[in-house]
Amino acid sequence: VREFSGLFFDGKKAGGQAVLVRWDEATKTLSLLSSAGEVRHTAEVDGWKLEPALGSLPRRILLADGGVIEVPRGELPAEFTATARTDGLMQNVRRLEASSWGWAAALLGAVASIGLFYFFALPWAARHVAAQLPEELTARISREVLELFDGKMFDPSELPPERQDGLRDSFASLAAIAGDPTPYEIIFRSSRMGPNAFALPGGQILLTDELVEMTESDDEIHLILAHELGHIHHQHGLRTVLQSAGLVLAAAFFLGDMSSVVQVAGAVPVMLVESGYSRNFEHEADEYAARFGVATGLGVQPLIDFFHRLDREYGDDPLPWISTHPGTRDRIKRLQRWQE
Amino acid sequence: MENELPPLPPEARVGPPPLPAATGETPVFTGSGGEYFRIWIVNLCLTLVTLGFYIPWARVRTRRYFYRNTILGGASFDYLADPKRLLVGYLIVGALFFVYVLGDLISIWVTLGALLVFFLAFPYIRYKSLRFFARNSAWQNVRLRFHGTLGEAYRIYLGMMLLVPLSLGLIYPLVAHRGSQYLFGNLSFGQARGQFTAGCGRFYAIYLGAAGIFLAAVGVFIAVIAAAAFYSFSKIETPKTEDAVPVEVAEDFVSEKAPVTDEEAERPTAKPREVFKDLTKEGAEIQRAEDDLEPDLSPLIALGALAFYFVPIAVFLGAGVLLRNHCWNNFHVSVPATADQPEAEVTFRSRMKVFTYLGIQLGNLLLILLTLGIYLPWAKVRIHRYRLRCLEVHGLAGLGGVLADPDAEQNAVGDSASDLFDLEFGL
Repeated sequence: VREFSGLFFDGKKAGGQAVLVRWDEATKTLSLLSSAGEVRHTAEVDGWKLEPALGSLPRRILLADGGVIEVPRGELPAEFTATARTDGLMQNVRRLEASSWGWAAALLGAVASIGLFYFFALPWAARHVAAQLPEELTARISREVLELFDGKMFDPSELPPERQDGLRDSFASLAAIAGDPTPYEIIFRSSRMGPNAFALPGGQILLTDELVEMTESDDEIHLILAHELGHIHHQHGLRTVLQSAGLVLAAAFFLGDMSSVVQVAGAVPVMLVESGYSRNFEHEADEYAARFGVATGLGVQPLIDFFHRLDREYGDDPLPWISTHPGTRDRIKRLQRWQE
Repeated sequence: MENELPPLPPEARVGPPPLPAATGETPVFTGSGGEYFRIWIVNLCLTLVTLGFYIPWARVRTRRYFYRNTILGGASFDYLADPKRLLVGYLIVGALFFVYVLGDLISIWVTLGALLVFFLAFPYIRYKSLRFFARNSAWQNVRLRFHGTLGEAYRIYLGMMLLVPLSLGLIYPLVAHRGSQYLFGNLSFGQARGQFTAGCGRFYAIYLGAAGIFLAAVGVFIAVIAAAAFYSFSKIETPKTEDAVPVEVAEDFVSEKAPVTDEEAERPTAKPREVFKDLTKEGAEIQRAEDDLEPDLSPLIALGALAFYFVPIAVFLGAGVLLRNHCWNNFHVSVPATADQPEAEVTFRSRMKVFTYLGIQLGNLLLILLTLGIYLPWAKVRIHRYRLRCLEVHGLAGLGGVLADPDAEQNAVGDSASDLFDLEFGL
């Protein structure tokens, strides 16, 4: 029989009572004695358990009837803590927290998990899910996006229909040489936002009149179209949507515990990592265009020329880290490497 | 040996308004950032490794650490929730959120449907959250209780909320007031009932002030953008004057825009053609000078955008501080008379300062970003400490012998919902 002192809160009335706890090692019975020595409470073996330690807080013995005995740290006999019934999971968690190796391993594990998630798991999952999505679905998404933009950002193209068809035909024969069976459709629009080209998940490549005007040869247009075809080939559009959704879910999960200011501020890192994915996709599409250029004999130079012009007129991206597109100069450098 | 310390509601913050009883007690936090860091990092790792399924356990352990280290009148608070109950709620809410985020892919209608479900379920989730929170928060092992009704939650968070857009937002402060009343006015500690006496006038003052500051910031931002746009616009226009502007005007232009040298001033009668040539040259120089100037503008715009990003957060947080003070200062707990104690009243005083609070939050934010998140546990402890330090409880002794309130059911849906969607209690 061992004894230790504690503070008893019966859970029926506010206020704690100083008690002496008598522990019968054989029967695992606890008796609570008042300072006058009378027994106020007894708990049989299955009527109590020890709460796993938390930080440097006093230990708690939980009684089945809702009462709690608080025992200052160090008061509990070692035999008691070693044999008391407790929450096994939290007991192990406590071991991790208490040992330097434990939390260092946890830190490593957390960093590794985040890296694994960001660099492998999420892109992998997005790629596979994107490949599984029915075409009908992607076609509808594209239609909705196009309808959303038409009339707001885009007006009908002012390029003569013959010019449009000419570009379509010439690109089609090049695509046939390159041997890529990815289905696509080229759409011309006039834009209120200036030169632009983008690909929709359903295979539509949208080219603005302003971009066509900015080019100096059809080969430039062909390679820009090839770049967009690269996005379609790799399903970048769908993968972006899926990866963003994954990041939002993950951020909500892990920042959910934080205060609102951290949550709002959390939008910045999410943006940063999202734009990281996006820049990767741009490089992938550039690479696709470069291969296309080599395969069709157009070479890479027209695209480099175009990027030079883009760089001259719009400048390199001042904030490459936040941007969804890599800096133009960086892209030119990579393309030049391809050229060699 | 019987009563040791008097009790008080959970998560103390303080501030008594009308009758300052004897002396106030301020809750203290006995934990530390370093200690919490170990708990936090183990939680984070286990959460990641289990793909999030550990979240309820992490949540309970974190709360318990904060509650149990919060000492008021010599006794700590406690958080008694069972993680397994929380898990159910998390799964339900997580599924809803999942549908909401991925709904984009299927159709806008799926997203809207998920939003609608959430909107309709929000009062229920709020109601359940508050019950769960109260049931599982204890001081001196006596639990809190929430007495609000589901009907009231729907009246406030659905009925009144629907009127907000119709009233152009004008009744929003009233809705916020009713929300605080719903929370504070329905809490009890054992059998001691909380009373909320705040009027909604101050809610209007705070929200209108916040809106005013916000609009002023938007105005400044627009002015900066407009100035920048005007600047680059005038730059683009300059070269066009070459061919479009008649000579006379062009001369004016030259004298106005470019420093005219003595030499030039001496030949105002020069042939138009010559003037043109000069103008072209000058124009090109101006153009170049302005090109050089332009990069200076983007930091300005970036700064404006940054301010635009932070001002709403600061306004939001500042209004939160003032509202919180106001609520606590108009909240008291009535303790019914018992055999050994007369009737008593516990009051609170909260004296949080907007700028001190914003300073702490800003410092925390910077350190969190600089340390890639490692500072988070210390940040959380810091802000918790500040909140406690600003709270004062008067008449705490009155809670001495308060009897527990025998009662019932808990449901986890609420608590986890509040978590993922960050419904704050405002306590």
